[in-house]
Order: sequence, then C-alpha cells, then structure tokens
Amino acid sequence: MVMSSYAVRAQNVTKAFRIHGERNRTLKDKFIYAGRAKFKDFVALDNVSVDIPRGATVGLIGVNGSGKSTLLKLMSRILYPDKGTIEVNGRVSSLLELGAGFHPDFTGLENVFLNGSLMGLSKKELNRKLDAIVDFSELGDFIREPIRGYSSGMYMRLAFSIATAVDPDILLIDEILAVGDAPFQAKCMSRLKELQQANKTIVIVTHDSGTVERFCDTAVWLDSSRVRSYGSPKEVVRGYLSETFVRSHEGGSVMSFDRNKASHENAKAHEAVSETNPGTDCAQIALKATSGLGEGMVEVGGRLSLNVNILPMKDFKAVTPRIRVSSEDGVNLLEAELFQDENKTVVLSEGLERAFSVDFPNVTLMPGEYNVALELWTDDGEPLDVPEAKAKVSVIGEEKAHGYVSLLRVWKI
Amino acid sequence: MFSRIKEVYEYRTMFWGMVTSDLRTRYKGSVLGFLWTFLNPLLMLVVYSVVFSTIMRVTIPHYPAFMFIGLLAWNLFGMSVQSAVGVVNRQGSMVKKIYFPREILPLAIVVSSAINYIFSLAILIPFLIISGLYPSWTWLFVPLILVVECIATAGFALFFSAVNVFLRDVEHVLGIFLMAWFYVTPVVYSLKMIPHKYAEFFKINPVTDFVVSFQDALYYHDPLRWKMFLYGVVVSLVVLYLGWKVFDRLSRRFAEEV
Repeated sequence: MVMSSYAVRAQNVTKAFRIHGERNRTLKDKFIYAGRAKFKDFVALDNVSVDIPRGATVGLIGVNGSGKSTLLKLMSRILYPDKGTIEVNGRVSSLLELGAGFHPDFTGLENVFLNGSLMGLSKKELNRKLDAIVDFSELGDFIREPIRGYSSGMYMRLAFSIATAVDPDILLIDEILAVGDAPFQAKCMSRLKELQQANKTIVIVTHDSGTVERFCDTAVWLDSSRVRSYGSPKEVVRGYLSETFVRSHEGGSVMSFDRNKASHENAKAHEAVSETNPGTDCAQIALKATSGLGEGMVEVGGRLSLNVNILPMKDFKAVTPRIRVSSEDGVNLLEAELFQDENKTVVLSEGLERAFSVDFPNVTLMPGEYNVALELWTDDGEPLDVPEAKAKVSVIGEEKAHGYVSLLRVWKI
Repeated sequence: MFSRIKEVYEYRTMFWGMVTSDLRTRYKGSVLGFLWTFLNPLLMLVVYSVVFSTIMRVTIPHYPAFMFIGLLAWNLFGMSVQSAVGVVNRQGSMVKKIYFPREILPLAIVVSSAINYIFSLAILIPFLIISGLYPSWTWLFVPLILVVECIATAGFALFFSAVNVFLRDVEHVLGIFLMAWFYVTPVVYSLKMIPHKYAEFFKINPVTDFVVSFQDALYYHDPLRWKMFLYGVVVSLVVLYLGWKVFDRLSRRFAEEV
C-alpha cells in the first residue's frame, strides 16, 4: 500500500442528519404516514474538504453546532458521509465523549482492557502498556474500583491515559480535557506535545482559542457547516472570535436550523439597521487620522491625532462627539466621548464649520489595521441623525506578542 | 466482505471480550449462575419429554433423545437470532461513541450461542447413552454441522439486527415468526411424519437441514445426506453473504439511528 502523505483527507464531504419531529418507528406509523415525511434534513457538514497532513496538529474551531464534532466523528468512522469521501490513514485513537467505551460495572483495570480492545489492541500489547497507563492516570487505588464511582475528572484521566498510550497514528480529541484539574491538564498538554514531536497527527476540537494558537500548527474554522477559513492559527482564531462576537451582539442567531434562512435573516437584520439611519444629512463630518509617519498610519507607542471637521446643516445646542476605535475584525477597543471625558459639549450652528482634534499621545496597540469612527450624540445620550465618519489606521512596529493591546511588560526572572 | 472479515479479525480481542461477557452476563445475578448453562437444557428436556411422550404419546422410539437433539440445534439458531436482533440498540451508547466493526455485536452472540451449545453437549451425550444410543463414528459430523449452522445463523443475525435498528417492530414480530418457524422445522416431529406432498417444501427451510443432519448423526447413526447437506452449505453461505451485505450497508447510519 502506498502510504499517503495525508493522515486524513476529507473531500467534498456532506453529512445531513434527519431530525425527526416525531419518530415513525413502528410499522403502523410507517404505513399511516407513508409519503408524508415527518423529518427535516439538518445539514451538519456541507461540501467540506479538509486535508490534514501527517504529523500536523490541527485545531477545529467554530460555534456550537457548526459541525466540528460531526467532522471528528466522520474521521473516527463512527459516522459515514452522505456524499464525498473521507480517507483516514493510520491507527486512530479517539477521545470523543467521556465514558465512551467504558463499562461502569468494571473496575478501572478491566476497563483498560475493554477500552484498549475497542481500539483494536491485543491483550498482550495492553499488558505491556498497563503500568504506563495506570501511572499516567494517577488514579492510585481507585484503579481497582468499579468506575461507576469515578468523578468526571477521573474518567477523563483514565480515558486520556489509554487513548495516548495505545500509540495511535492519529489522535482525535473532542473538548474533554477541560474537565481535568490544572496539573493534569498541564500533564496532558505535555503528553500531547510528545506525540506532536513523535510526528503523530492530532486533531483537537476546542473552544479555548489560546490552546489553538499556542499548540496547533493549523486551525480550521467551521462556520454553518462549511469551512470558513483554514490556515495559521493566529489569523483563523482572530477571524473567528471577532465574527462570532459581532454576531452575538447583533442578536442574530448564531445557531440556526436552516443555514440559508439564518444568513437570510442576518442580511435582513442588516437592512433593517440601515433603514433606521436614513441619510438625511443634518451635518457632514470629516475625519482624518495623522501621525508623524503620515496619514492613516502610526507606529506602536507613537502619537496619533484625529482631526475632525463638522459642517452642520442646522443648529445643535449640546453635542458630544463619540470616538470608537475597533480592530479590523470588529472588536471594540475604545469608546470615549467628550462629555464623559471632559464634561464639555459642543454647540453647532447651521452652516458654520467646526474643527477640533483628539490626540492619542501613546498608541499602545498591536501592529495591525484598526477602524476609527466618530459619531455625534446629544448630552443626554441620544444619537444624532448624522452618518458616522470613519477612518482607517495602520499601526506598524516591532511587536511579537499576540492580542490587541501592546502592554508594556518587564520580565523579572 | 473479505476486508470486513479481516477487520473483525483485527478486533479479535474485543470480539472475545464480547463473547465471554455475553456468556458471563447471561445468567449474571442468578443464584445458580453458570450452572444454568446446563440446567436450562436439562429442564427443557424434562418439560418436552413429559409433554410429548406422556401426554401426546409420540411413537418415535427414544423420543426425548430424538427431540432433545433437534431442540438444541434449533435453540442455537433461534436463541441467537432472538438475542442478536436488538443487540445494536442495546449497545447503542457504544455504537454512538466509538468505532469498531459493528458486525462484532451480532457475531459475538452467535459464537457465544455456539459455545453454549457445546456446553449443553455435556447434558446431551450422557442422556443419549442413558437412552441406549451409544456413540458412533457418525457423531464426528457434529462439529461440521455446527459450523455450517453457525454460518447460516450469523447471516440471519446480521440481517435482523441491522434491519431492527431502523424498524423496531422486527424485534417483536420476530418472536412470533420464530415460533412459526420452529413448528415448520422437524424438531418435535420427524421428517418422515411430514405428508409426502409437503416434504419438499419443508426442505427449503435451511434450519431443517441442520436439525435433520444432527438427528442423522446423533440419533439414526446415519452418515450425512450429502445432497441435502450441500444445499444447506450453499444456502448458509448465500445467507451470510446477503446478511453481511445488508448489515454493511445499513451499519453506516447506526450511530444516528440508535
């Protein structure tokens, strides 16, 4: 057999589940409701293609219901794709659900053999690995107790110990490490790193974006049953975080039964928002961001000036400008207004241009693209019917850390 | 299908684990425990021989022995299928959470029933000798018949266990179906008692072949009826092939349906 350089290769995989309103399980129901389908198809994965090279560590991220676990179950061959192919090369060991492949009445030791045999290992191999498994799990005397009395953390210890001891080529992990205590989690991570160095393939589903950034060399973002992005963990995680936070703020359904309908509704929501802000301009605002480097650009720690020009079309008695700085992926970094900061307001008179500026003497942002917006509000918190002014700022500089804010730091070791 | 068999072989540790746990848990919790493996056929023997030789007065000589041979052969088939039909649902939590060749579930039941059959020989053989049916060279056919019967039983077990996941009525209908099947199989009567014009019809039933073959070997001390036995072998292989094919096809959706 020619060994493929891919550990897992999913090509155009589609998987739909039938959601039964009420299950027609009996013959009577099947006859009575024949032809009248009582189920809907829920597309959990829609034409997904993912290649996982041998030895890669891949993080799957996405909101609940985006298809991560389904993809993992397809890789572990618990489910079969409806369309497309999924090719898995090598011995798979999976940690999908707590207690999977355990018998509650058996002792921990007996379950090592049961669980190991479920992964296709012989008794001899298991006997050889038994001590290592028991040692790693740190279960002590509990290993001789029926596991029905185990806590979820103890379950996880045993499951993880077995799954990693069986020398898998591919390890699939679905968000179960979280139940372990901190020292054991750390131990798990170092075991996973050993496997990583031994060129094993690891696929991990997690909501902890930090884990993905630190530990994975590739991230896959699944969104509404499709692969949204694939690539360097840092970028994929950023895109994922900002988008999902924006979505939950808008109140749109992150999870939806009908994918198409959901995006439709989201689009509608957007339309609705812009309709409430018709462009009946009662003022024109211009916003310009400048620094020593030029317009729309500043270096980390440098000074940035926002120059604002307002041309009102009617009189306003007390207006407070509000400045919003957000990252390119939509995370709000700052919202400040004149009234709160300085307890001042601006009086605008029709046709009389008004200019002012806001200075940021020390821009402690990470290198990247940022958006600056200026809105006008009344002093009692009502937005004015004025289109907001926007400007883009690129922050440049030498900064190796991740995040949005470049906090000064001093290591003392 | 050969790749499937190879995979089941790779999971042999699990397979034996399932077989032994099936044997162990069969009478778990009962006071007499494993003794039931022997007590069960013994008590069955008492009931059937009282009914059929004292009340019904069947004229076959050594009737309890005759009937017991057929009954054990039938039970290997009937009990396996009855127990296998719901096995995928019973092991649903495992099917949903972990991969293994799903065939192991029904196949392990068939193998454990076969082992159970072998245990019950410990009752059957002394009983035959007490009844005056002494060992003969024809008894050597027993392992061969047993293997072929297991092949057919495995085919039926695979088929019914897979279909039952999608249509749970099968489990309930099967009880009645097996009862009817039992009575068209010459267990409590002999093949000779069947009216001649129906005899060929009865021979279509593959279980008849096994029961009659066991009776020939153990009771009549006749060698196998080769033509009939060959038919049984062919039917068994076809049933296994078809049953496995259906199972393989349906097993893809097991994790969603159980």
